Amino acid sequence: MAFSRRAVIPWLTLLPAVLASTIAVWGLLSARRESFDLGFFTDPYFVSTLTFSLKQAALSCVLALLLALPVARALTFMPQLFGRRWFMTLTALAFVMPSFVLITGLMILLGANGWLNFGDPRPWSLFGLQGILLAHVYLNMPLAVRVLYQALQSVPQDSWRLSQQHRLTGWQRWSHIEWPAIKPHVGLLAAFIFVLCFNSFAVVLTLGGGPKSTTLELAIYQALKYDFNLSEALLLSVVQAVIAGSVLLAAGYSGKSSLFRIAVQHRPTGLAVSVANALGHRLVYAVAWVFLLLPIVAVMIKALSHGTQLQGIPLLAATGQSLLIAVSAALVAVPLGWLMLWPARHFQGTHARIALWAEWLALHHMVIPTLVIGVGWFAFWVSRIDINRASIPLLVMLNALVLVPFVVLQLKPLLVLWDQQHRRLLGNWRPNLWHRFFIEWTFIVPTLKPLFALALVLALGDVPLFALFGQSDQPTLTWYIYRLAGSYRLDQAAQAALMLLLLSSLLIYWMEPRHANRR
Amino acid sequence: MISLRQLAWLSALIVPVSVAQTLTVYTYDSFVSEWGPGPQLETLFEAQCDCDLNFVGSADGVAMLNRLRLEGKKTQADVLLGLDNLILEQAKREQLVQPHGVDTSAVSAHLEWTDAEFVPFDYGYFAWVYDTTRITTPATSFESLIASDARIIYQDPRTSTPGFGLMVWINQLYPDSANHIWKGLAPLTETVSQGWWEGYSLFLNGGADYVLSYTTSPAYHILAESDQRYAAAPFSAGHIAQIEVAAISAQSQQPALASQFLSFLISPEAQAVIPTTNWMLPVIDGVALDPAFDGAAPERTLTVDPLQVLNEKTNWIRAWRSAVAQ
Repeated sequence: MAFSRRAVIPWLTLLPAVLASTIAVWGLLSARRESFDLGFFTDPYFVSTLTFSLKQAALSCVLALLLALPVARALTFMPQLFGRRWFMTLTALAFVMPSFVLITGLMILLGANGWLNFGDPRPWSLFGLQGILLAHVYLNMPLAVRVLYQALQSVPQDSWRLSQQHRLTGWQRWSHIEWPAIKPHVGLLAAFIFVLCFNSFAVVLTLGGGPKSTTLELAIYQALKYDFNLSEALLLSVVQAVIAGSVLLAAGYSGKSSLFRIAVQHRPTGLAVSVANALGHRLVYAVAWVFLLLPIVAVMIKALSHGTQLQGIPLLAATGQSLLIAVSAALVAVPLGWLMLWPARHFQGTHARIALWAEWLALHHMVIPTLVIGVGWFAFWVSRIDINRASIPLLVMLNALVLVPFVVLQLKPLLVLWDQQHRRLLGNWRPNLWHRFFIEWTFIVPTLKPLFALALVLALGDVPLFALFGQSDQPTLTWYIYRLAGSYRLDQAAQAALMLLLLSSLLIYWMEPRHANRR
Repeated sequence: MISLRQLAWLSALIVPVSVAQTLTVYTYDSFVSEWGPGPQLETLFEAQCDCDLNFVGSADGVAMLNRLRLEGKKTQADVLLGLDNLILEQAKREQLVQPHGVDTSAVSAHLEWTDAEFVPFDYGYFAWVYDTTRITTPATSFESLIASDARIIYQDPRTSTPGFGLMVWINQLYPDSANHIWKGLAPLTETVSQGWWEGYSLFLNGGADYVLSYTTSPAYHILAESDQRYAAAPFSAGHIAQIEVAAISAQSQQPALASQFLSFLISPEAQAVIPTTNWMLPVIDGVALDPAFDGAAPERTLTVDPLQVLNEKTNWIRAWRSAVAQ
């Protein structure tokens, strides 16, 4: 029975996440003044908002996957590629890049006076659907490249060799080897990218260009912040969470729930590549390099072209504050994510559906807007504790909650593998919890470093939580950048953004496995 | 690595600091930044009040208002600083403030200030700012702006104070045909940004010919960057003002000290700090102003009825949304 006494203990590990959501909803419910008005569901503005949210997320997702595939294939089939390790670092950086840094880069390149946007009339406007898609593809295609590359890498060398011996055509090889290898990953990958784009905030906020391109996430923000209509914000969040949550659940039900790992190591296929194919692969690889690098280079040039005007001490203090919060949040999130996988693993072999729901609960913070959790927490705690004094612990806890789904997604495939390999052994041995922990620890410890770095960089980009709970005399780096930019100091803001980018790059570089480039 | 400041902060967690009188002032973030007026005003006021002035910064005026709403009776705020004439009626309706009892007769006559709960501390006029090296004959009205082929950027009236100001401005000038103006502006619009700075930085990077900002914006470029390029386009039909205001929180336990702070805010010494830190105009006469601010006072100004703004804003936003979203 799934709910026997022994089975209760694993569920307890989900308590922090569930409790956090409950606190948020409780806070919002008790602070709201308007009653729930279901009328706005029939408001044409709500309908167009919902349609646009779905449309842009679906398009972003399809584009990111379609563009990622040739890049992943080039990486797989070319035995020698110049700067492969740097490219992998770049893909990781692009995925976690603070969106305002990317947006600044895109503006410099493609804005009204952009370097790449010349001619009269200007061929391109960055604002509206096209800008949103461009930014979403930039942020998510690299993730897809890594996952698809990893999937193709899992094909045994023998399969590749056989395909060569049997002289399979390109199409046959695709349908018999490549597609079966990536198929189990596509569902979840697509769902994951869809949800990220569906919940995307800063990109739509900046590049949407007006009420034409409003998404649900943006509508929630407006309801929360500018109408202070907590009831409406709650209802909109429910709609958003139901849609995004169903997409994730459906992906879990449909596939083998194959989760992916983001760290990638290269294994050659041993296939000979024709000259024409090699040229094609190299071209794709070069284009991907340029695409991912250009916005970063643009920000660098812009930031350095005005000479340094930054004041060192506030900048360093802000960096220290950012690191303090982000490191603590990552330190909380990694063990928490590990623990929260326990119920899903516990029921994996025996109760697949329960396992899926347990996993969903571990992931559910991915579908709730950060701002909703933040405002809910504020409303809940404000009458109970001194929020100003508890600022750092609150920031750490909330940032950790936001990171947990990423940790869960990263650790799950490893731990599932571990379970498969050790279930029988452990069934006989029945080690105590401490031993079990220690064995698992030695197994996952090589993954923990990259995972920690990834979580850390994601937490560095936080703005909405700091806006609620932060102390203005102890700004984080991102907050400091907003402050500089908000006070006409745009060049300094660009320089501080560059600093953030460098810090993220260093952490990401540190995360990539060293031996990945040996060949 | 933990910095000294953080250590100090951590120790503050453990050791409760007790100061005889602390005046807590809620404001927006840029007011308390190291280049904003906050630090100087703090030094000046603490020298005369025998108290500890404690600024608590929120992202912007609206975020500050939300914080108050969430905190309700538990708020520690004594003073709210940084709402403006366009949203003060909202704060009154929600009973977040109490009468200030401050003598505001020193406030310049043209501001016609009589409010019993709010004290003004600076003001500026909404205007279209342009680059004089690119626009030689600036627009003088919304009609001439629409007739030009210029590219413009303005802010979302739902999320930004200048954007909200533009909406009030247009509805003030064209009570019956605001829709027509929005539709005329739509094809010129490069983007509607969420906040002031997103739009303004785009403009500075060459993203548009005009950006909605303040008549005082050019003074910043002249004084802080020695850059004479930018100017505010004077509209012959007149401009509306954003008057930034402060008030005593309804929950304050020390209204006398709060009131003393509000009086200080409109004193000559405090008013002298504001123009070159907050980049707005002083609310009292006789403050020495740099000539860079000469263009900041428009020839013709329009008065706004805050109650009308409160009652009409939902309709105005809806009208804007449907005019622009087509």
